[in-house]
Amino acid sequence: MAAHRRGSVEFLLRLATVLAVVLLALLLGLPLLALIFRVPAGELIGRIGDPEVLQALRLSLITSAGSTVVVVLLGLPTAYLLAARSFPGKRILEAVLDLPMVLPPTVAGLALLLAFGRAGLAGSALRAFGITLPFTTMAVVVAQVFMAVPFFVAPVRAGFAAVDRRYLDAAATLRASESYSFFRVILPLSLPTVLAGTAMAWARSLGEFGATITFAGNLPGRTQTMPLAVYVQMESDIDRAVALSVLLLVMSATLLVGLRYAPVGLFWHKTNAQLQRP
Amino acid sequence: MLSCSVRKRLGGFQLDLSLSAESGGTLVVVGESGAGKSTLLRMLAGLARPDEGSIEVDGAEWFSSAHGVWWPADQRSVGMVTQDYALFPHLTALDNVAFGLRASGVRAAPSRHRAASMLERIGIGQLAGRRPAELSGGQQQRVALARALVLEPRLLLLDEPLSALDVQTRREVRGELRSLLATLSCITVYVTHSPLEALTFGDRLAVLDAGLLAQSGSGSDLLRHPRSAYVAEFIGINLFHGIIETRGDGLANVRLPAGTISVVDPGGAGTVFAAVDPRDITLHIDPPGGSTQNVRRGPVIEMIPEPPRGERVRIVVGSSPPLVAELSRASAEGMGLEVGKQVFAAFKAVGVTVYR
Repeated sequence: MAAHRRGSVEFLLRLATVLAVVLLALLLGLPLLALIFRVPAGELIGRIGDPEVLQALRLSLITSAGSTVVVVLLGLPTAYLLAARSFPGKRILEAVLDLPMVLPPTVAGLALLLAFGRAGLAGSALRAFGITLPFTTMAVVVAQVFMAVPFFVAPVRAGFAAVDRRYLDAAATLRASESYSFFRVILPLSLPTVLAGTAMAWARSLGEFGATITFAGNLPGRTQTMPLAVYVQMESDIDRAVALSVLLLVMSATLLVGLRYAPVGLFWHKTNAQLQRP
Repeated sequence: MLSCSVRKRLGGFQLDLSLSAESGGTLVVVGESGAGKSTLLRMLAGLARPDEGSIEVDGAEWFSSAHGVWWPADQRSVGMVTQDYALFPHLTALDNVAFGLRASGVRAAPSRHRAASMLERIGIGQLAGRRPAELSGGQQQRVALARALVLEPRLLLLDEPLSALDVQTRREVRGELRSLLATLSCITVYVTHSPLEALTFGDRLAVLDAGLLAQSGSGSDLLRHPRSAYVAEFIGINLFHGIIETRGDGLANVRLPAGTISVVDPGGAGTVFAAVDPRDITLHIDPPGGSTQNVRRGPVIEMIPEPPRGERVRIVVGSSPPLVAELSRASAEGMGLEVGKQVFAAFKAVGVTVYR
């Protein structure tokens, strides 16, 4: 009977869905659990005190914070322009801004080297100002910015575009200039998205490996960030690599969860949903 | 004093109208949705640019296609309240009202002070600290009004300010709003789809129909001599628009797109409006004799009980031209009227009001 057959198809689809979710959860979750339980908690905390670990941690925090600031400062106006205006070459700009999301990081690193390296396109121009990028801490920041930008610009642009036109019209009839509207209406109303984008960009910077090692090298204390240190320590001291990894994991997860949800309440006393007009 | 003459092409139709309004008065623009009312307001506000024409307020040219003048919204002395109020959800009532002052460069402390006294004036001072989500519809409407008025605009634009409210609140707010508007010295333009609201608020009314001005004048003028099907339907009269042809016997024919009616000859030629009160139309099962000049046959299309108590009933007759008659429920039942039944509708030439 048709009804019976539809019932069993429904059952099979449900089973397949559950199976898919379980498989994915295992694929992603099992490695994380393996990482966390490899070294006992007490020893783990001890390992974090190692000078090598601390050095990489310090460098990672400084560079990723720096690149996040750069991403936000450059990304906010770019996202606004893309959301609010149309101009010649907009499509090309969008493609360029999206590219790092799909580009292999080593390719990005090589491209950065060819552009800003000693013999690169802009290398001699930079040298004229006394700036040498490759194999410096600044190069780490540049590589992180390159890789993290799309993770900020894409969602923030969508957030700006989603601000209800009615609020902008109201602001205009209340004598608000475009910039006043941006800072007092658009930015506060899309704050949750901006914070989520910031968290994504920061987490991406923190985890950056390929572009960094290609463009900035692997110099302890100068360019060896935590992901690079994990890679190096795997050869010599697996437990130290694990300690570094767990630390990275905790930091990224905290960023993702914390910046995405927590501070919204600090700025908006009510939840987003409550503030939406019925 | 506002005088505006604007044209704008809008997808299918052309908005083309000239309006003027006095300081201290309220001009109500009434019309069906899609007639171009909101577009007109957006052009007055500076949110939409007309293709052609001019907008002048108190002698200042806000827009002129001839002189290449265009002041955007933030440079005009306007206040606007829209149907959904568009209060900023992240700001308290007080900060919503202070927004325009802050945007105009007034410092924070005096802005908040003036915003607070505006909220007091409008009777909701105790709600200053609430956010829009914590306010009722009526309260939101008042905050939106305070937000617009605190800037002391020359031109106050109200776009269906009551339509988002429930019936009970609307009744309360309507009275308050009317007395508030009477105290203002600015030019108020009030847009609504409700003829009832239009008659309540307007010293002068403008009826908009498909982007064109169908009629403008006082409320009583509108009721006595409607010139649009929209208003005629609201008042509930039969309105015809046609070309008059003198017959010479003291009567004249008005030729309509469908059919002809006889009227008392008003003299002159050209197009006229002819209005017939539904109570002056009688219905008959058999052809009526006597001196009734207009008799038209057709089926009953619809029978609508008349509020409030349904003692009377309006009968729509599919004659040429279509006619609406109104009679008591008792006589309708006595005649055995029902949808589909053929009837004769009759009215006298003297019962038709003719005007140009």
